[in-house]
Amino acid sequence: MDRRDLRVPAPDLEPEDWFVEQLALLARESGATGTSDLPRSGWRVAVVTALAAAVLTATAWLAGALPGGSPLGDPDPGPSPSPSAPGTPGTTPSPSPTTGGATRPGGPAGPGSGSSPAPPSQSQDDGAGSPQSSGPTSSGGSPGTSVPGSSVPTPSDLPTPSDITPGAGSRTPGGKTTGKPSIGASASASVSASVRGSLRASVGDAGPLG
Amino acid sequence: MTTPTDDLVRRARTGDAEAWRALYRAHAGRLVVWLGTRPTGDAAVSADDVAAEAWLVAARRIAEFDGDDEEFAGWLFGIARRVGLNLHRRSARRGTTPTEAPPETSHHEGPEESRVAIDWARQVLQRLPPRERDVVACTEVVGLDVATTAQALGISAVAVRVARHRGLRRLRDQSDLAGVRPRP
Repeated sequence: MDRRDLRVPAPDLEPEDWFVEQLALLARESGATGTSDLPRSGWRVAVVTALAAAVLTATAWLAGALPGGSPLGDPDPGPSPSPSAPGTPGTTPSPSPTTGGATRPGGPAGPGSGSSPAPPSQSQDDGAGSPQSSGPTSSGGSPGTSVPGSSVPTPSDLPTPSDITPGAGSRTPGGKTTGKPSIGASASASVSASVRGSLRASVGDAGPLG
Repeated sequence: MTTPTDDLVRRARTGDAEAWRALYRAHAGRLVVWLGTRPTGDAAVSADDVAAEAWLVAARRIAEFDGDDEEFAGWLFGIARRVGLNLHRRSARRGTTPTEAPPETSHHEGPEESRVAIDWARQVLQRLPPRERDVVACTEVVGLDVATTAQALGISAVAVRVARHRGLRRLRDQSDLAGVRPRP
């Protein structure tokens, strides 16, 4: 046990001929089967392609379902005509509705410089109810009313549309551009003072935030 | 010897019998010695049996191997290790009970001195944990380098160095094996 090294000399082993032939045969068969990797890889590629197609289809379906529901539905209600009418008379009724509820209020803002703060408040109203988008759009009509009231332009604009929502139906028949101003004025006049005060208060809060 | 070893592997991949014979001569002895230091877990299975099965598996899967001769050694030893593990699990399912003096210790037909050396190395390595035993058997008993040992055992080179260091230190700490020293 006084060995100085764990090293064990490896014996020289000579393989049997039949064993060598067996190894060579297996190696040849392995090479032959190795070429059959192509079908396997092709099968995998087909599976991956199918999965990718399924994912793309699902994504497209979702993209068509989700956006198609809300935006397309908004334009139909006809809010678009009313908003576009005030800002740019009869220019584009349909485009304004979709984005008009949220951002385009700025479009109406064009007519009145003081109406610039109004858009944000309108967007808030829009968020409350999509069908009431006509309310915000009607705000475009309100600007027309607000113009007369230079003292508090934006607040008055905001209240009138939301309150006028019932009146919006009358507006649409009224035409896109010409009927708006008068209708807006009549609607604002019909709004009760209490409601208007509350709306102004809310707008006043929103104004500073904006 | 004039044939490059890489050429041996390439020819063996094409089914050249002479290439397989040369590979066998180059690695079979070390493989049997290394397997002789590892417990098979089954008294009816010898290191030669595991080595032969490993060669057959290597021949079946040579098309999947992409490397030179040095890597072939580690690849072959790794196959032999997995074959041994499979045999061990199979014998465990059969419920075979190893004997105290496995008959596999007297199977080898090589020189008697080699047989004695393997038995001695096996006794020494039995005192080590499995990981350190495997690493020391590869590096000290068979003489594989760190990279080949890592490939054979399926561990990293760092793990091989750590296990080798710990195993040799553990052997040195034992009084009756104070003379064991690592290979330079």
